[in-house]
Amino acid sequence: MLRSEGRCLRIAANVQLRLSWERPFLELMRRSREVHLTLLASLALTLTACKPEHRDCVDAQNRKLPDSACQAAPGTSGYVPGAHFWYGGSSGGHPGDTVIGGSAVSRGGFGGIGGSADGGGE
Amino acid sequence: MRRLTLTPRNDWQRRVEKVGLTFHTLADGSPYWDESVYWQFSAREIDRLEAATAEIQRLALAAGDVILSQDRLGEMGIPASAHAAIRAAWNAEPPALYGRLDLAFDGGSIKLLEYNADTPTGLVEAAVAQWYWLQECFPGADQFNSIHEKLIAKWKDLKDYVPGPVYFADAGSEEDRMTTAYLEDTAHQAGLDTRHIAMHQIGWDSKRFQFVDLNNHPTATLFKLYPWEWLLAEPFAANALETLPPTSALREYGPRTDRHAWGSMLWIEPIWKMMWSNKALLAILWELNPGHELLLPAFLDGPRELTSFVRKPRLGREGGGIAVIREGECVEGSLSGDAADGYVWQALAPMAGGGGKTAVFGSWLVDGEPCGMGVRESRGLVTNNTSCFVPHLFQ
Repeated sequence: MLRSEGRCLRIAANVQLRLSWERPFLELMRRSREVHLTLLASLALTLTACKPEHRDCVDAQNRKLPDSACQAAPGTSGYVPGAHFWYGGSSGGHPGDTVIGGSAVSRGGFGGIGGSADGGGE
Repeated sequence: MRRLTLTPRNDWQRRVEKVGLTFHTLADGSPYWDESVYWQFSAREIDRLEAATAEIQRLALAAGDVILSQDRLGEMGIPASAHAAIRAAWNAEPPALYGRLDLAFDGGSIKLLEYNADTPTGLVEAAVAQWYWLQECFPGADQFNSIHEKLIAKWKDLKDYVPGPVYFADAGSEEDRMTTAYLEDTAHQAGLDTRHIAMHQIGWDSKRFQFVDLNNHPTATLFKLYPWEWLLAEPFAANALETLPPTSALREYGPRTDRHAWGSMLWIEPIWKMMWSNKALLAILWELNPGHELLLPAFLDGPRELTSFVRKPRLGREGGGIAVIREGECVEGSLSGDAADGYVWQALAPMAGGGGKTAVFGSWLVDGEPCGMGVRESRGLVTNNTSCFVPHLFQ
């Protein structure tokens, strides 16, 4: 993962593979009959790094709620049906304010450890 | 078993690249894929390795039951937040694809060194590159390697049970990317609709309570080459667990009947693999099967009576943090530092080697069945990410 003053950097590389191989197989052998690789694999290695996104807890009309409303389980005190987090929007910062812009989708919540290590395989 | 030398193919780099092994050379310019040597086995030795793999798998399954029935997940260092999900997944038996046992074998005894059950790599080398090497160099010989067709067969079995498309995710290293590309290829050949996504590209839709791809389409099935212990230490950990219904939810409601995200994504490998990819498993296996011929003495509380042993971090990766002690003296690695998740102390195993290197035999399982092998060679006793991959055959 590349980090630069909190801005997102993006690196892309595309590699394509088309592989094909077949051979007669002796039934008693323990190896694969064939290893036939046909998938056209476009390998896009995109590395991004972003600051944690700003989020607001909002109701179904995108009006700001306390964060606890999004963290409470159904049936518990503080639970508000339809409450959910909203990412990257802006508002006056007060409960009831309408949050504008942004999205219900947050990204970057996985991959942080692996992006700074040698990957997740071993 | 013999370690033999061979003149590498003139253009071996291009040949292995063509079949997906693009990471054939280490950063210092030395080969990672080393076809200047190969291991030759007898059919009987391969039979023994295969049988040992099946037996260890049986022991691991039994150990999983004991770990859960005796509530030992905490003792293994597995976070409490994951316990209910592990228990539920173990009981529900969602799809589990593959794993690799690392074995010591000197022609006599076979011993389990560790079980890479969650995110094993070395797959392109074992399943593909050494198969093509054999075709070109020893077309009349055989190889313990039906990994490719076993993977395709497993995906065919899963085709009607896993919601599509199946996403293949990794952290972006070249080796991991090629590994997920290969697994995606096998799933694709089995007729599944497949996609790739980088781990950091996965989104959480807080309105629909589900993970989504870059087009905000739900990722209903995710193969992740990314260890569960990392997933559970990252910002989406709670969301991931939210997609995994606890046992009580399965019992009371069945999957997919809410709350919010229960059952909204199928994870491959399943979260219960945290039990097997944790090196505490080695000590639990020994405790449950003391003296078993395929196991090494291993302990969670120290080396006990061992004078020659390996100290391994329970959640160590790629040989990191391992110290080798021979007759009380540290001969490789370091005893300094303190692993956050604790250690396992395991007796030293007799190892095969040659040319100043030590060999570890990675025995692959697909769908719980032994199906192939890859050999890694190291200058020392510890296999790490600079250990070479060496092909094998048997006559």
